[in-house]
Amino acid sequence: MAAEPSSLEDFRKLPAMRRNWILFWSYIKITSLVIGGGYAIISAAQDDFVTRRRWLTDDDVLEMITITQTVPGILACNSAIYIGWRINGFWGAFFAMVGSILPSLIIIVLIAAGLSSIEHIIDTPAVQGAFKGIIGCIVGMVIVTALKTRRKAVKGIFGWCVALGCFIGMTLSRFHRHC
Amino acid sequence: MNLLALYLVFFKFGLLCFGGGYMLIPLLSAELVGPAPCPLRPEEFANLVSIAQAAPGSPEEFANLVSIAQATPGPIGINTATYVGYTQQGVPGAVVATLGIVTPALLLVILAIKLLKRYEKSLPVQGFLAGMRPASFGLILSAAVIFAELSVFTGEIPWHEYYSYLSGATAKVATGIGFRWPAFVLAAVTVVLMLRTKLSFMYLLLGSAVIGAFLCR
Repeated sequence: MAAEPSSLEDFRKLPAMRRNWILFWSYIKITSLVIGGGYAIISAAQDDFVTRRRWLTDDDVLEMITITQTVPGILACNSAIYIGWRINGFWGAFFAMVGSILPSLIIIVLIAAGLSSIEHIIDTPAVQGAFKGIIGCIVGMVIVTALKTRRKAVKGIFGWCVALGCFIGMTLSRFHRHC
Repeated sequence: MNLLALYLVFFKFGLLCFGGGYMLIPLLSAELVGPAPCPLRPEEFANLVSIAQAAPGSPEEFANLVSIAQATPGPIGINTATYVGYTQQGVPGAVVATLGIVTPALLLVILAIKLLKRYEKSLPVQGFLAGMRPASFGLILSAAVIFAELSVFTGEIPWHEYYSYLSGATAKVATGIGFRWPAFVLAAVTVVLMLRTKLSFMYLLLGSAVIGAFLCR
């Protein structure tokens, strides 16, 4: 692959299909590695698009979480649609979304098609341990997302009351989980 | 169910599953088996078994698959939609169900971004954002706790038992919970590396997978 564009301006100069391809491929990489759904994928997308590429800001991540939570649908796909739209309009949203669903589609179809050997591989202690390691890493990634958005997100006593109320309610009630 | 019906059913699910893919499970159960007792109760497992009985294949197979859906990469809601679509219509069913569930989001997220931009300055939207921002922060933190329960701790933290212990209702905490030091170290190292370096999350994840394969068994 050719060198990746370093700034959003450079990126905007690329041909449309190439821009879509970059978004598609970024999301393929994220969703084929990240276990655990929603917030894990949002954290990985933040690392890719905000920290490394600097195409979006931490404020955008906050807006992204607000929108993905408010609008119905799968959080990870909503975040892909948000990033794709912000960076490259409708087709950007479309290709990022396809990238966010394609790895799942392939993996689950392979498993459901009765390739029982995959299930056996997944059940081995080494793979289970690898998954535990990945989720441990994701704990760190999600904490980093929280740290990076805190200053903009939580302001004053009202902010802390809402944030802690949400945190305690979600942690204790166990109704809604990460997806 | 033919492909069009499958698409429409999952389109409906896409419109209804507020807050993410876990909402899919009670919705699916209501669609395939009959009305669920109450979609808000965490009786996810019972619902899963009833879907499993409606779907071809043995119940164990499906329950097993849902645990795989949560433990394999990718959005959990997409994993579930793909599986159910596959059981109904094979590979075309899997594709159609998955596309069905994301179509409403594609339109609604774009609409939400446009509306938020247009009415950014209006008082109700300002108020909405003032409440949603700290709420989002709380949700991120709770996600970190839930991921920690899947890796750093060996299970769900028994908050209710701690509460009754602290309030003096029970003498001791009955449920023990294990702690995986390697996973904790991986989480801590990830925080430091992500704040201090520009190392891509991919290397962090792959490295954690290798270390976890040896140390987190």
